[in-house]
Amino acid sequence: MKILIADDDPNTIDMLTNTLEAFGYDVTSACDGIEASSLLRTGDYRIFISDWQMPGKTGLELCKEIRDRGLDNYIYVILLTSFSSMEGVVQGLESGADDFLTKPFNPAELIVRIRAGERIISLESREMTIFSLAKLAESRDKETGDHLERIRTYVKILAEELSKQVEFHDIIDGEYVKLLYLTSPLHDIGKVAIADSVLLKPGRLTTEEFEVMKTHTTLGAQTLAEVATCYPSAGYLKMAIDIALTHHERYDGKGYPNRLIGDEIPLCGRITAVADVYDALTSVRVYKDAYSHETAVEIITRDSGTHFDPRIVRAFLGCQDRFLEIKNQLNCETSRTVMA
Amino acid sequence: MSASRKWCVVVNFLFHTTDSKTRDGDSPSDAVSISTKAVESLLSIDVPQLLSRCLGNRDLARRLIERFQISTSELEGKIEKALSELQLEEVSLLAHRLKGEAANLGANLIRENSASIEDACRESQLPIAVGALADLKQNNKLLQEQLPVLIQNVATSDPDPKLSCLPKRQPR
Ligand SMILES: [Fe+2]
Repeated sequence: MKILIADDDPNTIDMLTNTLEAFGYDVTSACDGIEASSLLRTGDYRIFISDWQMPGKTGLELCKEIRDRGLDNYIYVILLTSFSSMEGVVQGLESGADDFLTKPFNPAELIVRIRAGERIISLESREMTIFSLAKLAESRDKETGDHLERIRTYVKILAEELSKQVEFHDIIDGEYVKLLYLTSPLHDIGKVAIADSVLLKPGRLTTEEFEVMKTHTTLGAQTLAEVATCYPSAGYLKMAIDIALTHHERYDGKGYPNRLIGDEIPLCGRITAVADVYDALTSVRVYKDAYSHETAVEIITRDSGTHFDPRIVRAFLGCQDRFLEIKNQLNCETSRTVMA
Repeated sequence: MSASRKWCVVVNFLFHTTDSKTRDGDSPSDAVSISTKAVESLLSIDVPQLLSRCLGNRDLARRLIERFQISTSELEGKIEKALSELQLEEVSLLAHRLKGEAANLGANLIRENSASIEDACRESQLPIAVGALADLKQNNKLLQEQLPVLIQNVATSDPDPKLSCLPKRQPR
């Protein structure tokens, strides 16, 4: 991680550099606001530590400048201050600073604050990566309308309801729900590799075509696994891979691609399966009208223990009113895709 | 008694005690350790704390002290000139800068004097600023006098353990 420090006091620069380099950071320094401003424009720095008062431009001015430019890559700004009055803090926050460090700084505190900054930056990159991948999937399958938005909302509602069951209490926490919400839109990303003749075919698929369509699960998981190799720190992609690969598995082992049975299917895949089928049933397809909410509930209840995990169906029944609300809110009348 | 006067008296006393203790057959290292602690408490810069902030890097600590000693005299001169010209805003800025530099070094008396000058100028309290400047000059004089001892202490003191609890290094 490259860090830029700006301070007109060479002693502060040397002390900060000494600590940051000891912890493996790559540090560049600027001795005034003008130099800092031009270094920031290179786009090389994701963390910026700036003195408050400096010749050329003050820390506050630099902060405002960074935020006004609205850069794609978020720059985490820590302002160095010799005072900690409320007025200073409010002024700093208003201009877009993320954190403050009071002189004399304590090396332990500095490192803790830098790590907090790194966490924020990695969360931001996580959401950006997932968002762009999901958009890529959507671009091949335009007619799904708000499908992705509905799916992520359904899985969130389901997971929250499921977490009330004692058995899932320790597995599903806020972070799990958030990750599920973020990664579930990637469930059909493998469709980007399916030929148009199959993917966009009006009408039912032949057996051969359906076999091709089924490969969207493995292709999606492979694509995401390749992305994960390029970004080893992106642990969140593990859930995305699981969802892409297993959202068409069935609880009784008759699903695809790997015929996994019961709890062999990752929980995220089992949850997404219920949400995906509910959405497919209640949406219009080229070969069928949209089923009513009641019919969809009936089918899902009927398939409990065969297609679906009975515990997840129980959770679904406990929150089906909210599914109906979302279905009505995010209109699915325009959906005209092949059911897969 | 001023800090400067106290310093002279104590240094004479310590040299005398260390000398006699050694002569009387006590362990020289005990005497040195007692005197080191006593001297540390009277120095213008909190050397153990500075060493901790430098993660034990003694070369860096020495360079910081040498640079601070030059910078303090320069800023003191600029503050005096600006104050004589009644440029209170300028004095405030200079004192603010010195306050930050002194805080980083753990030069607590100089930090307090600079803070008083800064606050007094912001509130246009000229007599208070003049009084604080006189104190600053005295403490700067003390800093200059102590320079050889400070440099020696950088080589011999231990870092302040209170500041040393660093988080674990992560593989990057
Ligand atoms: Fe699918």
